[in-house]
Amino acid sequence: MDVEITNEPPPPPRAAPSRIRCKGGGEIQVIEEATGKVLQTVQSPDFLEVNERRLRTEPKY
Amino acid sequence: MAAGSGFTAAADASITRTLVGVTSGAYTTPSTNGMYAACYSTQFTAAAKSGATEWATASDGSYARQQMGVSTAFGWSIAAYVNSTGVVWSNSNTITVPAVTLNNQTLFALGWVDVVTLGSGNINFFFDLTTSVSVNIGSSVVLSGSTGAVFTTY
Repeated sequence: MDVEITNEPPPPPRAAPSRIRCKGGGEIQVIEEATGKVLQTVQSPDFLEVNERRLRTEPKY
Repeated sequence: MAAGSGFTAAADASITRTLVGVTSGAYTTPSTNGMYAACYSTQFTAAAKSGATEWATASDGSYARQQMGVSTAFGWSIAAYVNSTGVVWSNSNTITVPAVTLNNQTLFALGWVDVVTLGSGNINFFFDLTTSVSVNIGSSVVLSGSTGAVFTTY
């Protein structure tokens, strides 16, 4: 049986399936209640990215 | 374990079922009081997105889930969709968890639950910290308005 070999280009990659994606983060402070002193400020790993998105999309006045 | 953030695995499933119109296991809209912020001593993790351990009143006598707000948006500022960014939503109000009593606590993740009662409800979204934070007796966890909790759906 003859097999025909062609040089057709490979098909384009399929588009990635759409999916619900959600990413979040925050800046947390630990505050001593009696004095109001901020003992520690911690940012979660994704905070800088999501906060940059927040600043980009918030209404400008 | 790798820190994660976003919808919990349960929310992924329930929201998807809602979007396609399946009523069994569909997303349940939070009650008239909106969502509550909750503190966790372990991570949810990037992969499983579930299973974190919430603080308990047996260890911190003052601990309680904190309501995000009572206005129409229940304490969230929700921006319009923007191309290549998505929908950004952040806390409108400063959220203060009551100062710790009884025992020092460890904070490793924040989560948002649809009821105030400890041990009940659905955790819908969360973010982990890279390393745990000590919250000693007499200290409070505070999320400042706008920057305490920022999420993007995209």
